[in-house]
Amino acid sequence: MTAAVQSPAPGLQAQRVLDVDELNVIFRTSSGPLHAVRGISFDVAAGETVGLVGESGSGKSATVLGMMGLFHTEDATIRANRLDFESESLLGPDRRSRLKDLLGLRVGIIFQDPQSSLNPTMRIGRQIGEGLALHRGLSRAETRTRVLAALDEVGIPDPEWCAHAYPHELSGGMRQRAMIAMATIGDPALLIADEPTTALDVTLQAQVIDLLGLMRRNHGSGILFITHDLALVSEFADRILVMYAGRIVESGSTETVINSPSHPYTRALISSVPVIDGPDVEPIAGRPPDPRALPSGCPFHPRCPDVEPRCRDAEPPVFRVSPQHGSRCWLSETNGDEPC
Amino acid sequence: MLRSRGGGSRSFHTVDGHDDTVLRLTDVSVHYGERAIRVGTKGEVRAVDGASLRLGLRRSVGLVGESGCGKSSLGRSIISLAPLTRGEISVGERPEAARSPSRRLSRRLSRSIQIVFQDPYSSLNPRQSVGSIVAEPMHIHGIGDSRQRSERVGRLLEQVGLPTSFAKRYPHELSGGQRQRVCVARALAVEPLILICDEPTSALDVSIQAQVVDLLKDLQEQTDLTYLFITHDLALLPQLTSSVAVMYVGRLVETGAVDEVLRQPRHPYTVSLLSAAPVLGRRREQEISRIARGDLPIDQVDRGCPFRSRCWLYRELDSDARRRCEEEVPDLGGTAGSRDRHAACHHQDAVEAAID
Repeated sequence: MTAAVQSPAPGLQAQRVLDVDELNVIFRTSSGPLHAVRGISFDVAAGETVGLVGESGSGKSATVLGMMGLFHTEDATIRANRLDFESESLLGPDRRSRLKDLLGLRVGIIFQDPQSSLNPTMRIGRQIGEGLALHRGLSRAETRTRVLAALDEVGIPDPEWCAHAYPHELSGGMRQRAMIAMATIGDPALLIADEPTTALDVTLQAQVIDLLGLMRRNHGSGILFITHDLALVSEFADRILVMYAGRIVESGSTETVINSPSHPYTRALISSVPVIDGPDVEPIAGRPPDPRALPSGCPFHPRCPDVEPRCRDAEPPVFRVSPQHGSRCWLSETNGDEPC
Repeated sequence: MLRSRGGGSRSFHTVDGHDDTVLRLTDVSVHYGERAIRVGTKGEVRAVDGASLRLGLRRSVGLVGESGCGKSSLGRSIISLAPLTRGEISVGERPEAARSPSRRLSRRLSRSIQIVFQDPYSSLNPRQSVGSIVAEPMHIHGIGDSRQRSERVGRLLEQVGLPTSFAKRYPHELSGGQRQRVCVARALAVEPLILICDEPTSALDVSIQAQVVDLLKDLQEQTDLTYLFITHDLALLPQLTSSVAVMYVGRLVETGAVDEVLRQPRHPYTVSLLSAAPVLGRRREQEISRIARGDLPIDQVDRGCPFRSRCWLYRELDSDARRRCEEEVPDLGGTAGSRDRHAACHHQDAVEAAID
């Protein structure tokens, strides 16, 4: 039903590595179910970078962790019409064991805080090579060669030293490089980066982004880049998905979303980005809604500058603004766009 | 009721406007000793090395640089949160030092300088209510009685855009942006002249960041507050500050009016920082070559330019020009913080030419 939200980037006929249709993530909490991700559909093609943008609490991390089975089954329920990785379904009863074989090899995940996602008691080299040794049955010598090559590939100056070091001996930038080496050592088809640069300063951030670009070229991986920073993702993503209150509210090529945004939320996000020599920032009024008590109708309506009476009554479907551009806003209907 | 300052601190205006200095840092160095860092490291770390900075009344200064460049140490040294190894810090037009290696900031002067920290999650006591957090500085400085203080808490919360009912809440009940507003209200409680903002927005989402920037901007317009705004994000500066000081491994390397420094940088490091800052809608490719590579060096170099190991311009220079970078330490040639341009680079003309 939401077919237009998933659209291969123009000119990209590459194979879809990730294909998601109507994904829902529902947490069990003491105060009742919390619907964090509410039926989102998107895909990522090989060699393509897709940016998933949203504020804290919009459901972007829940999307990733839910897809990849990183929640305890008793904490969260995952439902979807389709969740395909390289044309094979990741749903069904044996989902956990299949994901276990994929993660760290065909799917690499880079988390926000390398400090807390590396094991402090394990040498870097062993952490990076663990997946290879376990799943591909490589010998110690083979694993070691691959680990050193991976550390070299991410631009670590002295791979031998680094492989032997513990995480606390590395600087923040080096740790994030080690994380990227760990995520790419299995030659992944899909790299998921969950706010990989939020804890870093702009120089390290730029270095990490360039490194991800290099990994995409070297391995042909598709990248799903999750961030709250629209400016950052606009610099290198092919497509952008804007998430709000558990739904994708706008999707399209980076150029379209940044230069001709259709959804008022995307427009508000754009004007809250500080630009050197640009106009003053305009903050978005209010704050994201509590997922346990979503507003009626469109969840953005209490903060929306263009709100109309019908926005309070009914949630808009996705409208097709142009062939590759979808927006979940009644304004699109007023402009004569067809629902998907 | 809160004017217990004896008519002193607001009288920094002078008729001709020549000396409106509210804060002066002269040749400030912050060195952390062997023990202060961790067991097993050799020698001391020179976090700040001979920085001179001046803040004029309502002329906010941005202090920028990478993580670890010493910008937070410099800010913290002002309010005795970091050791002052060398140099002097004076407040207002008083000739004597408010802080020197042997003297901590007096309680009376500490009132005129307040700080807002980066992380609103760890800088608020989770067991204290918002009202008691905001009232605490007034309590410490003996301002008002408890009724007056609680009235003022209400006004302060309104000033930072929070409902007065929030005084009864606890930090865990607030969002990140709201917590940062509480931190600002607490800092404003004793009517400071100077607010040190140590990356107050970098732990927040971009949309919330804009709200906090807006708040700081409004406060600046309503009061005589002067900010020392510490950040790694250059794009935030034009919104809040009139001049900027760029820091690299403990030294100030470029200073001047914000718009001029950002438009026409003269130090290659400033160029690197500008290339690294994300720009909405710009494609990545063209800027990569000027981004500083590798990590910030841990140690100060005693010979030559400290930035040359990562400098994009140095790589383009011929061997004669390089020799100067290798042998002479470039000098900033002035006090940072005013709109006067200074840069600690031997090849400023080449930087300007390269950018054009």
